[in-house]
Amino acid sequence: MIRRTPFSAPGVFNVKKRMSWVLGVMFLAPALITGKLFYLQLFRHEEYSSKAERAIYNYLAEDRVRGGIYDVNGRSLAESVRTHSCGIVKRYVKDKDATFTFLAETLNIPKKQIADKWNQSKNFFFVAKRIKPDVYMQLAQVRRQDLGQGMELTPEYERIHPFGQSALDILGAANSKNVGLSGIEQMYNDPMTQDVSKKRAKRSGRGEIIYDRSLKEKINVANVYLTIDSTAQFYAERALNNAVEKLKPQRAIALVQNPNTGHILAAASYPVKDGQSLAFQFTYEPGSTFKSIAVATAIDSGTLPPNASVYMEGRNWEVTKGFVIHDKQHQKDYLTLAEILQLSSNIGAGKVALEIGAKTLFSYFKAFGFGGKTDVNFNGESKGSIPPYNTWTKVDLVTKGYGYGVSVTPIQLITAYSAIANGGILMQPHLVDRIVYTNGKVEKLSKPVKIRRVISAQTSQTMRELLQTVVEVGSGKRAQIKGYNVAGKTGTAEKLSQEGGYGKRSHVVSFVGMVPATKPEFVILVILDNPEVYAFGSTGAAPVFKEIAEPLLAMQGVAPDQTDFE
Amino acid sequence: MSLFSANTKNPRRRPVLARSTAFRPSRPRQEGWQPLKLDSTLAFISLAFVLIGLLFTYSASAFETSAYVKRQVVFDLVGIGAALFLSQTFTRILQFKIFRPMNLMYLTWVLLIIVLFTRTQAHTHRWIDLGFIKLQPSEIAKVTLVIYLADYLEKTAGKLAKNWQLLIPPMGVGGITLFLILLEKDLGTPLLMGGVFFCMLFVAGARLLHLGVPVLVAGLGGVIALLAEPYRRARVLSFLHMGGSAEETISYQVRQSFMAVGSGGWLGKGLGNSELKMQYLPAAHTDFIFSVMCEEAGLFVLIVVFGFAWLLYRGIALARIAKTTFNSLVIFGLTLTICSQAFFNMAMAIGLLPTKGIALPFFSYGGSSVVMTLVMMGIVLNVVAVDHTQNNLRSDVTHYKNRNK
Amino acid sequence: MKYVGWLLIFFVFAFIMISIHIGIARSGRVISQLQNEVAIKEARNQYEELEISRLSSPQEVTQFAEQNLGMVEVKPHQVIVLEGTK
Repeated sequence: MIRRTPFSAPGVFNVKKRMSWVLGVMFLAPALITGKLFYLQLFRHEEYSSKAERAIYNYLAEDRVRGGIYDVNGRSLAESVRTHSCGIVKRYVKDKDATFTFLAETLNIPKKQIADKWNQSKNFFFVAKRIKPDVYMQLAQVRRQDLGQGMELTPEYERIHPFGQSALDILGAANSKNVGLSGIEQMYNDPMTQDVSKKRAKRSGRGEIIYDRSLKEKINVANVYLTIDSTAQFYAERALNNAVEKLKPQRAIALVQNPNTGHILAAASYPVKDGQSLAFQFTYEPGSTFKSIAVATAIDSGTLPPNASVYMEGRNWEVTKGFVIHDKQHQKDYLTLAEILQLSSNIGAGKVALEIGAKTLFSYFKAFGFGGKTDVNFNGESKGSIPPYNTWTKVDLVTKGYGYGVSVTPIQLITAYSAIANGGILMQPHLVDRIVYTNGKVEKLSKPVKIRRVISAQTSQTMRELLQTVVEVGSGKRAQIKGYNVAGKTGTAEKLSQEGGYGKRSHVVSFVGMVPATKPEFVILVILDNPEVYAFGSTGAAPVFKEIAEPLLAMQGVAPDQTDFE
Repeated sequence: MSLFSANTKNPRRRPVLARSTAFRPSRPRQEGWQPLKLDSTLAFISLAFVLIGLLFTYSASAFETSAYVKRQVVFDLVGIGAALFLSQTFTRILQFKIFRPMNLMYLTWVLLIIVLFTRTQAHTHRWIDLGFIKLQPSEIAKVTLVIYLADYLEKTAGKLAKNWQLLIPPMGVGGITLFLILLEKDLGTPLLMGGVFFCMLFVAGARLLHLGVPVLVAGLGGVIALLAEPYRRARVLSFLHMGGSAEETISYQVRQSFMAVGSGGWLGKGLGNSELKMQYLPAAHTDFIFSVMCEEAGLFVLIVVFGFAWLLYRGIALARIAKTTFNSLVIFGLTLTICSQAFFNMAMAIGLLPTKGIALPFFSYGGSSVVMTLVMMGIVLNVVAVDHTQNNLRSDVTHYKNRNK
Repeated sequence: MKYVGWLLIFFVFAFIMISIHIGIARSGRVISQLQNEVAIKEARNQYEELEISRLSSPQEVTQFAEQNLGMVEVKPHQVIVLEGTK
């Protein structure tokens, strides 16, 4: 295109040629740029793509909204609240000093503390956790300003129990990452926590999240509703606390059940430890409260008629050589079944058991649900133990009649009494009423389940009449409630001491009762384990029963049996 | 649009860089004012660049605020207006005594000195704030220096090679101008202007030996200037350490720019989809707009690169066939100014050259840059058109035109 | 002139595309800001609700009634339940 012409001649220069040279040299630039573009965009595309990806896309912290736990009426017992933690990503911070001052003022922490954390950490550190919404608002407002650059506000959840310690032993605990650790929290952890996949989100240079359709959360967390009625729970806890103050027991349990449905309305225990409800985990020798089981068995199996009398052997019955049972609380030679219960006669109950026979008694024990889990569905529920009947000696048989040599849990005992109360049917006890998912699905878990008929309706009726006399004239007088027929049984059991014998000073006092006796609405079990102030079931536990039952009856508006009081 | 000549319809006769209408007899002069016919290639490239530039200014800045693109539209309109006005009138305006090239240089110097006393912005003072627009005198200096030099060389063409003393006046004027710009702590602009300056002298016939000495002196001065300012030294050092393992020493801007270009891939992320523009890439709508373009358009951005190459080719081709030294050198100088700036900016964005505050003509946001670029194009268009209308062949034109035959 | 036409068509097309994409990104930012605000307001609301439920817990209510209002707990036999209200 351009012909060569000599250039050197002075005064003879070629403008056109020189321009072409300049053009040629300048054309190196687009050539180089093209080359570099090809290099960057084709050969190093992958590398820079992943770099950009790392710079721009962040994985958002797992954002769990844990479901709540509510009582049967929907009152909140445990709920997760969104708080925030404030962290600092060092590389985004623009004005270090101003940011520190602002954070120190807003969060009310010393500035030096932040500075120390800054120096110790490499890229990121937490300034504060569990920031309440009001403070969070203040922080969030500066997020788009220079002041807020580098501030990372990540949601955190705090488990709040509005009713304080109430029912905490059943609810259990959940940690700050919202994982249930014990109790209901642990058992229903799966439905209460949503399925969380880490969300990939685009962020601007200042850290704002750019919403994307893929960011849409699909929350499907469940709220768990217990059969516990927070009011009943309150009454139970209040009564129990009063008793604890008075008698100073090592442990105390109050359990309220609806005998007709098996729902547990209240389960209070002392001392309160999250996720460890003594009502389900405590095992003990029931003592006298077990006598009604033996009597009910005797009547139902036809071994003894309801009006049978039992010979007292002069109130000192030597069952076998060296094993003597004493009855010190009465002077009678014969006791009817009613009197056995009223006076809580060990000899009577032992003789009844002997009359029934090991095999029948054992089968009734099993039928009442002793010696096996009730499937109330609580973590760590105990089984209790009933030794197989073929290993029983005569003494074993006799003592089992009045509640020694067996170990039961409070939930087993109350469920058995509920069977007596509701006409002879063993109901499945329920603690969880329903699970309600956010998408509207309701999983009902507390439909009344009849496990089996244990005793006939007739026996049930008789037993209630017998137990009513216990409260009216027997050991349970202090459980009387004005206007209502109360049926119940006291229990005072010596505990197996560490040396192997039954020590006098270590004992469990209990009372289990039902009200109203004619058509029970509540079955209430009170257990005080080893009270420091010496007490019997009649003096220690029966008043607690009354204290729980009275407000419950008033609350539910249960019609009184007698109206002609005054 | 009779404003643009359709010289592409001309049958191809011989392989020349640009087909000229110079030897066709001009139409008989009509009564009244007739618009000059503008070169359609240059006009088309300018228009296309303005439009595409507007698109990418919008894309690069609108995530943050739409204020930039609105102002850019105004700047573009003002620039196009100025270009159209100058494309018809530039030669005539220059005939006024008051607009003698040397006077223009005085004006430029005054502005350059005024700017030294303005408030500093981002450690430099390059702008005179007029409220609506921030006037950047160095942009004006680019034009005036080319006009001055072309005018000077018009008088001395052909004698430069013999008489090196003729180089002293332009060297003095150029030196003062570049030094004043240097005082603004701006190194990129004087470097580019100096390049254009020497190219023009070289094209006009100066001997390389004569040009070499001042280049050497300026080069030494440049090195000293580089090492004097710590921030500049850091930048240069970071550039020199670039590549391979020492990626961390590349400046933050260039790293982000690489990320933008590299992650764009050969197809790009799609118009408007740039991710690095979201507060990652600094000056995404001004100096580093090319990175955003690469990220969004992928290798299609080569259209723009080749567009500038085409502009340069066309400009130099027209300069080659211009009939006067002045016309030739004005076309040559201004085209070269625009294109060298463009290539410098692109090379900077993809790490071929160290980061200097050089805007991408037509594309980068900025009133002075856009308006002055369009003013340059207007002047070029005017000179080209005027040159085409001249058929009164002057002796010197005949002289060097016939040399090639 | 034909090329100018194509150029303008490209310009309009590209402008629409860019404005759509930028609109998406900008509204994404707005949405996430709003989501944040919603989350905060929800959290505040929840706090208030929890405060309500704390104050309405049986213990608080009983305490208030007994101490501040001098009420006494009713005995069940004193409750009269009208037919059909239960």
